[in-house]
Amino acid sequence: MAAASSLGEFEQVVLLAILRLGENAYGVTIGAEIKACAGREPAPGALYTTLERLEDKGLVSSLLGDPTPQRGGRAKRYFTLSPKGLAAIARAQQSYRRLLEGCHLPGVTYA
Amino acid sequence: MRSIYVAEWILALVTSRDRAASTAGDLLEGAQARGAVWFWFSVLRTAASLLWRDVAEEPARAVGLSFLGMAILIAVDYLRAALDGLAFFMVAYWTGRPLHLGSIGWIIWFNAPMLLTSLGTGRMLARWAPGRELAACLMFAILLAIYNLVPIPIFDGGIAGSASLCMPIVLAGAAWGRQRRLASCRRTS
Repeated sequence: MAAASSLGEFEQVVLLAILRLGENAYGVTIGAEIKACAGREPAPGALYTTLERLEDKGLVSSLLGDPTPQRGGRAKRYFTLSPKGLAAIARAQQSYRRLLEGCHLPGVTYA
Repeated sequence: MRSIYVAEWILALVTSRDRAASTAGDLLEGAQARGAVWFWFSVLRTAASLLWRDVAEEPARAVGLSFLGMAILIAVDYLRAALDGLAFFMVAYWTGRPLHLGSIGWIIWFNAPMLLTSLGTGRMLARWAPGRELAACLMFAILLAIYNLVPIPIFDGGIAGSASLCMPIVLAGAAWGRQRRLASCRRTS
């Protein structure tokens, strides 16, 4: 439970976005995925700071892709969840699910 | 395309060089739909966020280093003031003529030690906070701003004023120290 409690709300959002994107998770697509799913556009500062922190915690790992001319010759940094990150997000979401049990929120259905 | 080099340089002051390059690339890709203003705003906000994260991770260390830097800067300023007095006396005594303080020699005498001390303080902060060079400088700047707010009757306002002018040089010293450390890391790897 310790790892789950150390995950902030935005960290969970970023981890879930990376999980959804699979092999195409880099800064731009992660931001777009969060905007599409959560309805809010993350500030670049918050996004890159969170990605660095998650990488420092060992919850995600990154790999540099090939440089492209559209990006001024800069490579994309692709992120993937590490097994530790996957376990942390699973624990955090289980905690949410347990908290939601028995609650009836308007417009929310549970699987 | 020159702008991405500048953006990458700014980001590399607060994160690793390869992370800075990929982040600058991401922001450039985003800027194709949003424009140059968004690009620069995002570069500065990202750099500020990363810088603040460095401060927040080890606040006590950053504050301690900034106090140390401040103490060194003020101590050297008082030493310089004492040397100024001694120099005035000796020059006036030996030449027997009034001093022309606006001359080039005196201007260099007044300013060079403070500039060198500021540069050295920046280098020292960089050496003592590897990886968080600018975080220590940020705390130093905050401390310096507080020091400048202290009423002049309590502390020497002249020293506070000259110390504020040295802030960009302290930052330059820290940036220089960081560049040297990164270059050294590249050579050893």
